[in-house]
Amino acid sequence: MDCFESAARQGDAQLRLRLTRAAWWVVGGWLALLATSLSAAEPKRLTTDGRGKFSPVFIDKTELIYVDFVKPILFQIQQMTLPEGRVEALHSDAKAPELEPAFSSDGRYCAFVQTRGALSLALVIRDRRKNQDAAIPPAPGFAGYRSPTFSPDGQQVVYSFAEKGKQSLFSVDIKAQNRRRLTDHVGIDNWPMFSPDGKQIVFGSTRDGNFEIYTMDADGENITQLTRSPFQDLRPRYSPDGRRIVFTSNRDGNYEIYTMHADGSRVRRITNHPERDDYATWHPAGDSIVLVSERAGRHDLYQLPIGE
Amino acid sequence: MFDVGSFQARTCSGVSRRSFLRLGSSLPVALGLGSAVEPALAAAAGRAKSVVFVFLWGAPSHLDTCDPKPDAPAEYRGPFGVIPTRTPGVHFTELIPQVAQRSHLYTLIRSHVTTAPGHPDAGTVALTGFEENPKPVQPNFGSIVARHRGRVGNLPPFISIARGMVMDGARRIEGYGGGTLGQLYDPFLAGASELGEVEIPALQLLDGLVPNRIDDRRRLSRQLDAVPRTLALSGFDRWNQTYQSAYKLLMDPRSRQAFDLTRESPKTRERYGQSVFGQSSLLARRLVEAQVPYIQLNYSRHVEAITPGFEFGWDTHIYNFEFLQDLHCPIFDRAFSAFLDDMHVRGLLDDTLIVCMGEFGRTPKINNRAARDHWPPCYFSLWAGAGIEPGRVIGESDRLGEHPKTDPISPLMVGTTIAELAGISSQDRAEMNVLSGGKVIDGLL
Repeated sequence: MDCFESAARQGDAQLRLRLTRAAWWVVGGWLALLATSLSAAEPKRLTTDGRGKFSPVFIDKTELIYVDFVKPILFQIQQMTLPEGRVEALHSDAKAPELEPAFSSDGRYCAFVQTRGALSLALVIRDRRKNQDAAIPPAPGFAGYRSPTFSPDGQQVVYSFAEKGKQSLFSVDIKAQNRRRLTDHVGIDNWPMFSPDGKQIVFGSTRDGNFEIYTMDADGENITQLTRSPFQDLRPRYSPDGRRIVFTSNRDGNYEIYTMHADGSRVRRITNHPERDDYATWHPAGDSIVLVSERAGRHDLYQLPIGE
Repeated sequence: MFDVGSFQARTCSGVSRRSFLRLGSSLPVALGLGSAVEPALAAAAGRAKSVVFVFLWGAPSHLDTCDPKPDAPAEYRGPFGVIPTRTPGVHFTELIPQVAQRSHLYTLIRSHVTTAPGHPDAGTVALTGFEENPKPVQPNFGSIVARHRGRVGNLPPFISIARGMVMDGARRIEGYGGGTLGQLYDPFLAGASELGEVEIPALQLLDGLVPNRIDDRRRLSRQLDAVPRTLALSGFDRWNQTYQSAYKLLMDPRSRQAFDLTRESPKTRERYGQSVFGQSSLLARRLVEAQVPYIQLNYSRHVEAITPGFEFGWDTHIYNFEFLQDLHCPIFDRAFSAFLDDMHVRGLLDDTLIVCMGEFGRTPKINNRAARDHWPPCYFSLWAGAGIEPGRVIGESDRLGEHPKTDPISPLMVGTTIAELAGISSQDRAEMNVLSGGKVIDGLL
């Protein structure tokens, strides 16, 4: 025990610095909350089953797609039609876990991660009109792709993949060919998303030590760091007009949803609950988000209006 | 599987659902013969009347949970920050804040070492203290306690909570059960769904029979009587033995109630979370209250983090950081902290031992897939209850979390310490010819 405490003391200076920074973040978070709580609107609950849910995304104003932990052995992609809330499996024949769906802006193509074997994940790009798949098959050994996203013109898919000790962003064309590396840095790059004009990509990265949010040009140049918190900033999503970014952060000690301007300024906390709020996505109208909220140990989708 | 019944249960969402008990087609293994163990001659329980072995099967990363290395180089430490626990000077990662806040209820060991590099073989070492080869396989710690303590009422003395036999891919852990003590001391399997519906692979209440009609013995007997004929056609010759045990369990209201999570308040069930591990943890607490001597609470049935047809386990060779942050740690943090609180508030920690650990650690150095592989030379455990002084740290790992800096603690020492606390003396162990050469963990007792 003494040896451990001695080692712990050696790390205390760094920890104190981190905790001091964290304290300032908490104070800032409370001030932001005070400003926003007065105008906060009540969220609308979209699901009631309480199962684990992930990665909601809209195809259009009425079709909401998300990943549902339907069984202890299965993640299934679900399609909810709003406003009636009818839900059905997007791929009713799927027997293996599928996750992280993304859609081209015209809804014709769907990209998703498909489990093919033990810790072996493929990236599938499905032409929904022709019902044809292009895929990047799993790499040898334990490997997989993550977080596909389409360019606004629907011609590129950008995704995350780990090799040589780092998880980087790559792009392929709609036929899953012509792979091109976009990032090459120590750490994990994940959750890419194009800006609506196609010029920028926002993503999360651990290159400074923990997850922060960055942008870069669509060709991978001119990387800019948008957030600098001592905690985790995750899953950035551009608003439909490209002016704002919604993301998850645990900077107040718990996972909550925040927005900021696309240049990283004016960070605002928009949820406040002791349980987890995560996986925010914009409604195409830009006036609300859908997120996954944990309430009383249950995970459901909620829609939350957002002002300017 | 042979359906022989169902009853209505109420889930925490308030929806009436059917809960099932079912006669398994692999009956001798699925039921285990633990339920056939005759009541013991009141063997002494020691400080631990019950033991709950929380098996984080698949092996969580020690660096990303209970043994962070914030000053290690980037290729080791991972992206997660550290937070203080309630124990001065002790920090966990930010992924398990609620468990960190309950460090006054347990003692942490950071210097475990095991010998086997793969899941099934390391699983056997973790559960028995010995390698699976040379044969014969040694008994699970739970089987040793079951042999010593015997059955309490009509409940089996060793219950393993999982939705089926715990396995890696298609292979089970050889040390899952009785080993040299025999199949009589195999675990009785029980699983819980994320909604709290308890599933017992070996039993199924009769169709249309609600719990308050179980006392209709004639009806139950008639329906159960029909099952042996079916089983006989299937070539099962051990039916009579298991039938008697199943019948006893079904007919005893107290035994049945131990498995009925609907008797818990919605608030209690919510605290554990709507997850398989959450509701399984709640089931473990009820089994402790029913004085079951040994409960193996498995985090998942399978080890793999993501594989078709398998439950999602801790084996994160890929996407370790994402799986921990988004799935496993939130589930574990909520359920295990609720379990500790519940046990503490109800006064059950006084004479219950809780041990929480995986079968090994994960590579301190981040692998080619930006994740972590198996790491037998260093991992952690948490020990609560049974008079163990909480709020301490025993053992220390080195700067990078690669090896213990202090005396290594082996699975055999884990098993020996459990046995000692469960009242199984060195003489008892010698008479059973188990845990040979084992020592208790210095400083823990």
